[in-house]
Amino acid sequence: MNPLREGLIKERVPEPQVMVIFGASGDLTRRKLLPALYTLARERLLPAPFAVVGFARRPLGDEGFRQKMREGCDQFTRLRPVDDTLWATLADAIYYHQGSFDDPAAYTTLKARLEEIDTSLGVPANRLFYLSTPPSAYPEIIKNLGEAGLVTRSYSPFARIIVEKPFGRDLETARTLNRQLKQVFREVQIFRIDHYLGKETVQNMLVFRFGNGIFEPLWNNRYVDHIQITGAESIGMEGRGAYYEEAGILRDMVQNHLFQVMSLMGMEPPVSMDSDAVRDEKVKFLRSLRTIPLDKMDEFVVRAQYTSGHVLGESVAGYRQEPGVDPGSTTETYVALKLYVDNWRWANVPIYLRSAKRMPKRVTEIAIHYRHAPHQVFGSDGGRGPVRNVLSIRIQPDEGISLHFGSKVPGPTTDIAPVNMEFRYGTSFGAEPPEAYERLILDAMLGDSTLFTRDDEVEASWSFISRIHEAWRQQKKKQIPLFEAGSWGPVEADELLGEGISWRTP
Amino acid sequence: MSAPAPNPPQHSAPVSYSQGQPVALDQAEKALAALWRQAGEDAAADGSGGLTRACLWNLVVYQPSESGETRVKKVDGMLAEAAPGVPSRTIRLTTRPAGEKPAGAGDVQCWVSTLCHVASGGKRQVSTEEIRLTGYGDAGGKHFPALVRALLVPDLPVALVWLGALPHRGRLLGQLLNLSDRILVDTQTGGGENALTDMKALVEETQAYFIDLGWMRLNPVRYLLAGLFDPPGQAELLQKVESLRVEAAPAGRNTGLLMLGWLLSRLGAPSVKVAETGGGSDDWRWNAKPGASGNNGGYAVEFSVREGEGGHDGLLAVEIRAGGKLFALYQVDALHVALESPLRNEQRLPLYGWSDPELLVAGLSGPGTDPLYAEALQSAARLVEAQAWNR
Repeated sequence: MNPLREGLIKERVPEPQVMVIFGASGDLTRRKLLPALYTLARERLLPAPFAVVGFARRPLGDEGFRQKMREGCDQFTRLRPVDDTLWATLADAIYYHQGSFDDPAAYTTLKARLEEIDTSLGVPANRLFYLSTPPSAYPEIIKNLGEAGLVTRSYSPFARIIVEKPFGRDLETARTLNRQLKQVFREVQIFRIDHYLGKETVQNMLVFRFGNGIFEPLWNNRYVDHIQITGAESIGMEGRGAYYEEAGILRDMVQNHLFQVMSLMGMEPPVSMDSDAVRDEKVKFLRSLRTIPLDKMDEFVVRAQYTSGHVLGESVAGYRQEPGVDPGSTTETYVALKLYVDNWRWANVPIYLRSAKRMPKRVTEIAIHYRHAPHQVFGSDGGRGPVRNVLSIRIQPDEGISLHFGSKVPGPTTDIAPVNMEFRYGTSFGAEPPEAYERLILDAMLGDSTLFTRDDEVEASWSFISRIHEAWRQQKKKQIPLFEAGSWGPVEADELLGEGISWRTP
Repeated sequence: MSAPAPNPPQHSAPVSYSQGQPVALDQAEKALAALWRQAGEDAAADGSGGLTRACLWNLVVYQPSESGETRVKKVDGMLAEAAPGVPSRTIRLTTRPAGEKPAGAGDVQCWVSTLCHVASGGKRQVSTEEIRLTGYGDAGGKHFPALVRALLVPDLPVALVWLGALPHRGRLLGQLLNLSDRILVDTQTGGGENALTDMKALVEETQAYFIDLGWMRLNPVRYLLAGLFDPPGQAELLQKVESLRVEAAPAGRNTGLLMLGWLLSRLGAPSVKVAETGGGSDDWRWNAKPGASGNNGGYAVEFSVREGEGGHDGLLAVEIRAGGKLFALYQVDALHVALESPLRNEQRLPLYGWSDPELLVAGLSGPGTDPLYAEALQSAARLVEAQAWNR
């Protein structure tokens, strides 16, 4: 043990390491990863020394890659303008290694290059690999990393790998990917990234629930009537029509982002904030989801597609008119689910979850709808009666929390009007929350996997979602419900809801 | 890459101040409310998208008249620049000689003002507020504690920012300490030879968290030094320390001693004894007696103060000789250090020092007193005491 290191780790500064990004010439690296690294450097959170090596097929060279990344930072970093002095320092630590993912020789030369960098920087051979490639390249990269001797299973020096979603496209492929990863890495070395978990509001859910005394007692079936979770996007396919035809919104949003958000909302208190303690509880929650009988799927799940319409002042095409989409497609761009959780806390509390493209606006939120007061003494005289209390947790945009309740209207009557108590990150802290990738990359550098998805979580969520896909396959429907782009979804989704309940307008 | 350290939010210079308005002491809250109303109306009228008003802390800033005009202005600038990172109600306490009291004025005068910043890439304006109290003669000592109690925003933590000479005991300090959750001091700029021993006593006696900006300035250097011993086999050499040497510029004397204190506390030296003195009062030498855990033979400890090149006013050099090898860090200029170790040739690295506003923000954002600070301070104070005893 290095006695001079004692106490320093608490400040969340990672050990010296070299990060290798596979697929470095792609959009994610330019838009998200390098801007995140720049911000971490600006906030003095990068390790010292540190280097990043881009690995891709294109012949860019160190300088070409640096130039491309600088342009990305200029355009996408959160803290603009880019500081030239700081960039010059960061750029010195950026390298490019040209190679094909399926060429074992490229990994041998990569290894030699990394050893050169280690020597010049005087760093131990700590590695952080980032798979920013199409998922089809994952198996080849993982295998080649192992065979080239680039992965140590030891704690020091360490090798870690960050894997971008999708983690498979069903339960079977997810299991296969997990197996391939674990042939080379141990589970503690694997960081499956879901950028939703890097969002401040998602993390704040744990603080809100378990760091305050007043909310958790009200977080159960005694007080909660139902829960609505919305993940809405206003954009359409943005050129990803062909991908979407294969994926659909259930795979693209629900299996990962919304199930993660839902499990943090619904899980039991963890025994500590240790990564496995938190993830154990999330897995338990996911395993408590009531299985939907295959022949009753339509009573619990509604899928639909948008047609042409108007969104945020623009006329937009329908899904089937998008490039790359089959004109007879039945791929869902909207899905709504009625879920039940078979455990003590949530017994008989429906969770309504919906996600869609081409909604009126982009918004992700959780709304906890509380039961009415057990005995009503207001509103019986014809005046406005009580309102249902709703606690809404806004994940994006305008991150924050609001509580909706009834208040007496000033005057001689006892009319009740709905009012909101609001917490907004911007107004309370006066600062923009950091980008999700900043937090998540830093956590992976530190080896903290709390905000990453574990293998059994991935398999538990696929286990539920794959069953829905199986039911749809069996139905062989030639047509699914349609709704106009810019609306909040098809009427069929309203029928999922219980009596007296309507979808919230977030 | 740059030397790491915890996260100070980025901030900008203030874009606007409201003019400080003199108000009666019992009208301060009302006057602030009126200022906010006006600011909100102005923002709505000019189409700037409204006003974000934030408040996370009560900052009580004490500046006695002996602080001097330059120091007062420096602290003004520091607080204004730090405001977006620590949105707060700032209560400024200033004392002036009784003779400067304007004719007809009360013993304590009050001004209120708001200030506004563009935060986070220009997306939003964040505004904070300030109440300035000036006490003439001994009025400050008498009235400040009760006034502060009345003006604090309820349910928000209180930080006492004491950036001049280190606090000396007295009724005012005692009462302000009782109100405070966190005390910010700066042993680099605040006080002379006794600063560290005074601080040690204060930290031991007070319940609140202490944040020393002088200690925080050492963070990047501590990370780099620790990094020299990360490669396999290097940390073991710290069991065989032969000597420690630290050099600091005159203005960084206390910071240099804190660095030495940190090294001694980490390497396990429960006692030090003054060895022969060097060339003058600026060269101190001790023999460190090792703890039970290692460094069996004891080791020499040396501290010297000299002018830094290019006007650098902090730490200048740290050398650790262990197992017959030299591990060292030298300040090259204000922005760079050179690192030396047996496993690497001399390596020049950028060292992004923190500005004072960044330190202030980080100090208020952090978890509380760093336990390593308390240990380093204790060791540093022991060095100073041993030296004083020897005179």
